[in-house]
Amino acid sequence: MTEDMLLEAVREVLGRYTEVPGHQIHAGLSFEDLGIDSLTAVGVVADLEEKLGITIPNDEALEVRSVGDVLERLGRHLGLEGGEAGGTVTAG
Amino acid sequence: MRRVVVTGMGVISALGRGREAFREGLRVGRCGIGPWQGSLGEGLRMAVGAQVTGFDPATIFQRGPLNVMDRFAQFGVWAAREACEQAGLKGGGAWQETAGVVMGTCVGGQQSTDDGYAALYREGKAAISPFTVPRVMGNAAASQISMEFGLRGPSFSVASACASSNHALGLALHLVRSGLGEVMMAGGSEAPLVYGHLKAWEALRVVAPEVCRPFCAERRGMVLGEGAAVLVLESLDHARRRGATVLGELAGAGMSSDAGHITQPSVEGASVAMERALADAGLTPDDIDYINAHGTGTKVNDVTESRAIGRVFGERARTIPVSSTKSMHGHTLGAAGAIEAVATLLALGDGFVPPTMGFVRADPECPLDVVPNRSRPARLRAAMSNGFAFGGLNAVLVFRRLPAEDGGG
Repeated sequence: MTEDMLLEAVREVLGRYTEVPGHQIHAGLSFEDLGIDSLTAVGVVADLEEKLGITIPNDEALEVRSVGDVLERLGRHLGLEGGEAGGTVTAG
Repeated sequence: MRRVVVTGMGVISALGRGREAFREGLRVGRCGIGPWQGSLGEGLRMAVGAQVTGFDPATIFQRGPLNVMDRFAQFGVWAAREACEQAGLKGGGAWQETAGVVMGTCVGGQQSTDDGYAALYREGKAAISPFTVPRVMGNAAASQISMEFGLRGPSFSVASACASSNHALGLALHLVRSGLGEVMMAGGSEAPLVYGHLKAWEALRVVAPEVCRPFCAERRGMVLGEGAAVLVLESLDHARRRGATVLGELAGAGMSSDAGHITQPSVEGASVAMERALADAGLTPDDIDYINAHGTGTKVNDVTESRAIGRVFGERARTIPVSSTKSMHGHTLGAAGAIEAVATLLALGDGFVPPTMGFVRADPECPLDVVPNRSRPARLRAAMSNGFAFGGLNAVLVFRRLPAEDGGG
């Protein structure tokens, strides 16, 4: 799993919930920008857990508010380099 | 307008079977939340629940009726028996002709649903129990209670998620006021502690890992519970005519809808329901001496409810005792309002305020006196009990202690 592959996975899942086209989704967008509310965000995290075969603790999952948050947290759980630095995964 | 009073109460919850166990639990601040009993916890992320223990249906019901009763209906009938016995209502009376039952439930017969699906999808069976439909249907508890006591008046179930039994009690209040049913049994029952259903709550990520800490800065969610409560409501005149002991008055009910979000509550909707309940009871915020909060222990509910109380009660919001008894009996969904109505009536009748257990430190966003960790004696004139549901459906009840000259016990 690379950062690019993670971004693609995140774009694919977000595409199930937002009208914003996948290629326009990048780390700088908030869920609010994408029209994703807090309940839907829980759905996004659940889909990504299943897709990537990982488990995110509740407290972390509930704090996810942006594409950058998702990339950072999932990156950390997947052991990607950018994630370890604490939210510096850049993309898009 | 007819005044409506409570003459019987029955309750079963994680605090025990019956009023006395419940009363004692509230007084000493016993927490009924604990690790899952039996095999329920296998495959679940959530580690705790508020289970009813020592409930053996085979010793409580005859085989015939038991075959067609899910656990949620069993709890409902159990609570109705205790309530009816306290009210001193006897069979073979004219009261049964117009008396009815209004029961709240959020999710109906979950165990029977789960059993049926397991048989079909996991065990590959081609057929399931013919009793599945009568067990699963949401009106099963109301129907079983009407059959048990021979009640032939208006009976039905109310589904408004976590506010179901507050709506049920509010509607029963209006039925008695209007004269459609001179005696009504009303409350709620729920038995949601079933694997398939618990997985659904797990996915929502609103369940606390080990303990429920409403209004506390360190709260991490709700804890699911099971149980039932039933109140006997009747007009004050009817209660006087038959010499019944009055436990308190159901003085008013207020209902509102957020018309907002399917899971996010609103300050506006909650505060409007409280204001309508006060207006219906003919009381002002200054008349209320205790609030039994909805208080689920989730981040969002407790902040929203605190702001709503602030909006309705102004400066008094900081000093009026507000507690969440869900910290002890768990969140019983469609039974919550009825169980909390019993807690509120016991508080009024016995002169004490039940505590909010599990409290560690105050949350600046919940600036309330939440009666942390210890009950306290207090002479209460009137009290409010809040119920706010997923889906933005709100119902608030106001109870009043009846002075002795009005027939109060």
